[in-house]
Amino acid sequence: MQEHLEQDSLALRALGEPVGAAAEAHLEQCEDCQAALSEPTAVTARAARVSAEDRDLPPAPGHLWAGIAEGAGLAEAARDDADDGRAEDHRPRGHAAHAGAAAEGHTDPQASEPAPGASPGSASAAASLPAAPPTGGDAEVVPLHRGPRRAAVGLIAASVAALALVGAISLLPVETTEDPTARVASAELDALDERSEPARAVLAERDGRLELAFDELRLPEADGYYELWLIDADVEGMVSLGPLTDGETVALPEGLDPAEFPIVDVSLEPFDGDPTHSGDSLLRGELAGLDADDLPDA
Amino acid sequence: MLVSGVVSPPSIAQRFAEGDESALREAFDAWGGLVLALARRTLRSEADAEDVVQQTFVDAWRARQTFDPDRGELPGWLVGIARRRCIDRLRAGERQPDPVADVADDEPAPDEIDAVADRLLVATAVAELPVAQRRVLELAFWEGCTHDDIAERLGLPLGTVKSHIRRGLERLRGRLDREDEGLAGAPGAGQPGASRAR
Repeated sequence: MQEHLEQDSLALRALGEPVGAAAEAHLEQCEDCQAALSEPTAVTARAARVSAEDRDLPPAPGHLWAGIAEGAGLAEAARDDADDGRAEDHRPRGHAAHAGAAAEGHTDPQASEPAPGASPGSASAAASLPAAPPTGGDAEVVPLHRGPRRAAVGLIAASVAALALVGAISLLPVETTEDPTARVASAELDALDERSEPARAVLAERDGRLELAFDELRLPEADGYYELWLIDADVEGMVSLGPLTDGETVALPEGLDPAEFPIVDVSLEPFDGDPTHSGDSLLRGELAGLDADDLPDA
Repeated sequence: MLVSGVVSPPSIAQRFAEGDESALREAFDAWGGLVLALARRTLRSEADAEDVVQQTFVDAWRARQTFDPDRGELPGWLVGIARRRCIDRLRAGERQPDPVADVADDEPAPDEIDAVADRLLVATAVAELPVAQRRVLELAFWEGCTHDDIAERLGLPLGTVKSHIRRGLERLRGRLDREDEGLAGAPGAGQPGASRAR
């Protein structure tokens, strides 16, 4: 007898994908599954009504601001914002507020996500891009070997390119707080194949130094060792942070700017004496601000 | 490199509620386009639509103490205010019909406003999802991609795509619930179709 539908299947079914005859038959007579399906279906039905026009909203013209500032009775200092451009002017404040929220342990799911007015066309533009191989695919990282490892780096580059399509990086300036560790950014690490499970890397500041810690990192036993890398967004360079084991926190070398190397990568390296990336990655994700997923993982 | 996500909606909402004047400007930058889109599609005149944007943000600022960022999302609340303002304008137009143009005919009724507001809020909520979930859901919702297609297009494992879809839908549902709360809690919000998804 077919069991209850899993959450992933319910989500796909809500999007109109087929889930198989057995699952459909079960769904027909199971009220629990029907009820569980109604929640994601309500969301997908609302999304289905959204048109391309709805998704590409031009920002309100800046000349409207003066009337708002006056009507709201803002102090002169706040009104002056109208004269010196738009969203760019607010980065420092947005950053500071965000980092502050982070230091307080605030983990709202939407934290750090782009506001719709900030880049109206970027989402759809990014979504429509194919996962094309990057132009910098033959980047030389560590020019010790030029043989097979070149191909490996090309492979890494191609798959990183998909990941870096949108590249909404929001690394935050670190604020000094009482808390000895202040979270700076995090990366959801995708499991690139069956060997591993998704994990999360958290970049935090401790005593003025940046360090990477990992949640739910479970590296399987393997022939070789795991190595942690930070890769730049153009996939033209990478920095090794050394061998990695479960539960380890890795300090970043002083002076290394994670904004320049926002992609976190964990590779399996053979003991072959070759210090370059093997091209055999298990986990990868991009440091993308504080979007800690606080939803229950059903 | 595109750098986005520098303006954090939750902190705007919290600072807005606390009366931080810079948050009003940030809210205008982030969601002025959303409010304007609703007004443009509801009212015929661009000048009226722009008036509604200004009135909405001024109203919102004056009523900020009634906004509860823990319950509702600020975009939904702003849209609730704008919706009320648009309906007021439509009714004022009906009382004083334009002798030349047949104004009432081609302007949407309030339930159509609610439908437009809902679509705009859903689009906004998707745009503000974490980037991986957003990309996957955009392809699923609007590009007609199956999870197989998405996995191929983004070069991600199937399991990862499924997980992004499920988690993205869960997060979106929570977000839309709060947008609906915000919209229903807006000053002067009448009986919007805010709970249609429940």
